[in-house]
Amino acid sequence: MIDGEKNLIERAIKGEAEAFGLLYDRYQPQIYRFVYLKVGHREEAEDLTHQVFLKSWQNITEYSFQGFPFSSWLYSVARHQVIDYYRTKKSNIALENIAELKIENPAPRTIDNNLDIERVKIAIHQLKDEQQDIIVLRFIEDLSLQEAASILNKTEGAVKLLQHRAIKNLKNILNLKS
Amino acid sequence: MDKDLFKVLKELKNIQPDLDYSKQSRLLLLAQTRNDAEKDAELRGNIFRVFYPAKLALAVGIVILILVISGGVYYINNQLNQNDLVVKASEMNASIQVKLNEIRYLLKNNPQPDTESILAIQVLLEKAANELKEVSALGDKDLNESLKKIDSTREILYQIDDILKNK
Repeated sequence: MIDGEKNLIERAIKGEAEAFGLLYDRYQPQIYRFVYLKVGHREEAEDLTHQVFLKSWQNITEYSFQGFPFSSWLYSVARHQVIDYYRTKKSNIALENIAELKIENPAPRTIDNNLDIERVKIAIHQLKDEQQDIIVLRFIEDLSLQEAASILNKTEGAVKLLQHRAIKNLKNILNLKS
Repeated sequence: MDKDLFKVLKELKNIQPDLDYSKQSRLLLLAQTRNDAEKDAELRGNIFRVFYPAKLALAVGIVILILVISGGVYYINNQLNQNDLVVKASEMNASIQVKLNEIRYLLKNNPQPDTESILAIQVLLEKAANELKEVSALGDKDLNESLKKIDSTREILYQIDDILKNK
């Protein structure tokens, strides 16, 4: 757990809004990124991210430290929020909407001509839900196997298998040789 | 090839939320007490289903209006020395607080809020805020005009009262 985080959480549990605000500042970008890569729409991602933090704030008394950063709990809330979102919408994102996937803050291009950020983003979006999760958590956010397992409520072995399949599928979608 | 893929994945970490959105979202979150959050979330859900495109603007608008009104009354209380004005401003302050509490209670306890009434109240609050802003701008240059504006604000609060009574 990041220095001072425990203190912030304790203060937030007591109802101190400013403490929760600091947790928001610390984790909102990565939760937004997680949601955005799963829903593929900036505005939907903004709305859902807001809901994630709203739910976290209202349920923070249910949080209990389990050896991982506070973000693990937020990721779990975010996962369920996205699941609910799709359940409510009862529809998958149409192909024309996938084309809307664009990076707001352009990152440096890769050296590979055939593999760019846009293609990878669209490919991630075509993965199954849990495979998207593991790609984001393990390879974008650099979470440990243990932490990813905790968020996905799986064993480390299951997560290893999941990430192997996710990478394999991602490569298939991108037409890359394994 | 693997290296390139993992490199691109790392680059996705550069995706960042819009700064204005982040600020507004933070403001909204912290404006709520934790105990109120659930009911407010339900309420927002109901309002937003109807006014989806304006959802954030509406909620932020209400918060800002409350701040503007509070700020305006604070300004009056602290900047004007004329007794009448201060007394009236204090009365208004109390009335506004009561009204805001009533509105808050209404919003919290009505699972199916009447969106027309909410919007009407929002318009009236906007008018009240404008009147108080004008009082702030007038300062002690024209006390009569300032008092008129405060009376006008009171009238607006009565109108809000009527809407609330009909709930």
